[in-house]
Amino acid sequence: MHSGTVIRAFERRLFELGCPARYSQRSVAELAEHFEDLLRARSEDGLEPETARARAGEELGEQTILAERLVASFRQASWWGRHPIIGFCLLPPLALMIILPATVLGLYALFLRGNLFWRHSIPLDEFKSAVVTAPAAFAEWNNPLLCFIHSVPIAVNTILFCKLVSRSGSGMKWLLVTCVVCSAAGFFTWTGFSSNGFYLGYGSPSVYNWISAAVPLLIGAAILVWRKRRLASIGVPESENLEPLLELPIDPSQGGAKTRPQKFGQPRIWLQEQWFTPTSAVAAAIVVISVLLVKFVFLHDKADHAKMEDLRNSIWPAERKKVFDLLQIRQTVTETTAATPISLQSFATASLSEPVCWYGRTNFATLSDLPRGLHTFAGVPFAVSERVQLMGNGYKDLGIAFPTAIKGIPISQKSRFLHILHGASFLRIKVPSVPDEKGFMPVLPEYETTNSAVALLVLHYADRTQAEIQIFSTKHLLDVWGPICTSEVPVRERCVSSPESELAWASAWMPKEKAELFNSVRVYKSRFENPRPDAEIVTLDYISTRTEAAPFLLGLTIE
Amino acid sequence: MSKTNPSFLNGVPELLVLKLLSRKEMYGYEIVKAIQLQTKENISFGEGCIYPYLHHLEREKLVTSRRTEVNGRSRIHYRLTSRGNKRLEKLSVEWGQVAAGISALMTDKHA
Repeated sequence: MHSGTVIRAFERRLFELGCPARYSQRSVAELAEHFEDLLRARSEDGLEPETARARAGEELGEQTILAERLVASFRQASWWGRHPIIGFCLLPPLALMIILPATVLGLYALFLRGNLFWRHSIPLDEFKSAVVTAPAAFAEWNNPLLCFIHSVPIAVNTILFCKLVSRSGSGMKWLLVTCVVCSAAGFFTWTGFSSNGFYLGYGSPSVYNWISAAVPLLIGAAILVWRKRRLASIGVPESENLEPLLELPIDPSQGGAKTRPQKFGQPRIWLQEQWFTPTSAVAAAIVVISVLLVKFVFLHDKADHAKMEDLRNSIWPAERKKVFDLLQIRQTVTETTAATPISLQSFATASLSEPVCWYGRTNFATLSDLPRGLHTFAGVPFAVSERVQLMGNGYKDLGIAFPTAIKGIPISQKSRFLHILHGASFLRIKVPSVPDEKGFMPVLPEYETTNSAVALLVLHYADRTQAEIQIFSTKHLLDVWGPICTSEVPVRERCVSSPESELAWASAWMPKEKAELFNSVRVYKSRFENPRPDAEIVTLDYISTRTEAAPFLLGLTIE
Repeated sequence: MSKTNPSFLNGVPELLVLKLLSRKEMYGYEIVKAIQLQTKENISFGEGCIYPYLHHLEREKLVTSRRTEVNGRSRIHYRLTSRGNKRLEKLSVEWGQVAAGISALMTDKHA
């Protein structure tokens, strides 16, 4: 037996078992020295060189079993080696929840410094506005960027756990297991941006998650290829087994040495001893449970997607049409008697073409397609010209100013009822976020201004007395941007609670994002009873209560 | 003494190695030869098996190692630590009790 062959067989077995390189080198060097000492001793005994080598090899012991004992001892020395199921099956998804935001924040910091994406440099303002703007504008580069952002931490996570497998000498089996677990974690993790920043979580996979799922598998495949080349470079014929035989039965007849079953002669025993171990059984159980869970989530998600597609393609469009038809009918019939539309032209503070809907700092919708002039809305004629926009804190955040009150709107007549055509921005109650067909989840800002007075109508009578009428959110109006469809939309998000108020007009403008199909620009009509119908109203004030909401008046009619 | 002492029985190689290293620092081949010589070859084993024990003792910080060059050859010498010394004392006491017990049993004519 050649000394090089003995040591290479030992080295190869250490490598096959996943022994870390540094420990492997040390053990190989030590054993080689030992072998050399034995060889010298046998040569000094007068043995022929070949006989001396064979004898030295025999005295040294079975190299492969020795390698297995060394690696077993090494594995037992670390927590990762003792608890591979916890370490390489359960921890990677949890670690990803830390690594993902950390990596994304790191990438974002690099982006802010202008060191990343230099080839496709996007100015920071443009980036921010793209993040907070309407999804249509964001979608142009959203998905490739998200895919990249999402894949980097998954790759980092995979490399980290592969490194831990390597450092603990846990072997190829656990390396492949951890790659598969990281792949599954990548598949079911989603990442995204909202106006408030970055968000992540576990949930339904989108088409781009296949790329993230492929990254750990590619890393595993690369390691397999490298390993195969390394084994070839060691240059010893293939060992009998790929995986360690660390739980072999002790054979007393061989001085306590472990006996090795023959792979090809006794494949059943080989399989039993290598793979049918308690650890493998627990790992297999985890895999089976995970697969069942994945299947459940996938099927559930598939059903959700089918339902959502149905909503987008048929139900919501039909409901939109129905709403528009109804509004159209309500615009053709006048229900009032002796109604006098009041012109607000001279009190307008904004035009109809100026934005009323905002995502963060970016606007996306106006009232420009609202019919102008004398027009009936919800059975009441109004003289619509421009917008009497009042201030709300929502505009303060944007650095835009409007008057807090418009005073002295002339009325000069008695009336029983006051009809107003109005709306409000930044009045949003929680709008359901529905993922689009690519899995993008729009997160809309939440301005909880529910059931609070957002504006006042102050009536000044001829006898110098006055009366105050409060306009409440939820009761008299909802946010200018919100759902008009009924399916899968809670009633409180699409219907005002007062019987004296109703949806008067909705814009036919449709956002590009399919998820927004149930939303529209909304304007309401409210009827208020005059507390003193026998007294002449001289003037009327329209006042903002300075909540988050920014109310606007489009029409005023006295009946 | 406890009814069973499997850890002690399993710790015989550890006792031998620690005892030898308490005398002087040695490398693997030296240790094996010393065991064979001093036990009159009553204890024999595949010589490579000494290394898993040595590495385990090193990880337990009972011994330390250092690489040295001797006559152009690289050797890893092992030396007992103070922690290893305490462990040796403990194992020696336990071994004395076991040996005395076994000796008493084996020489008892009424057994």
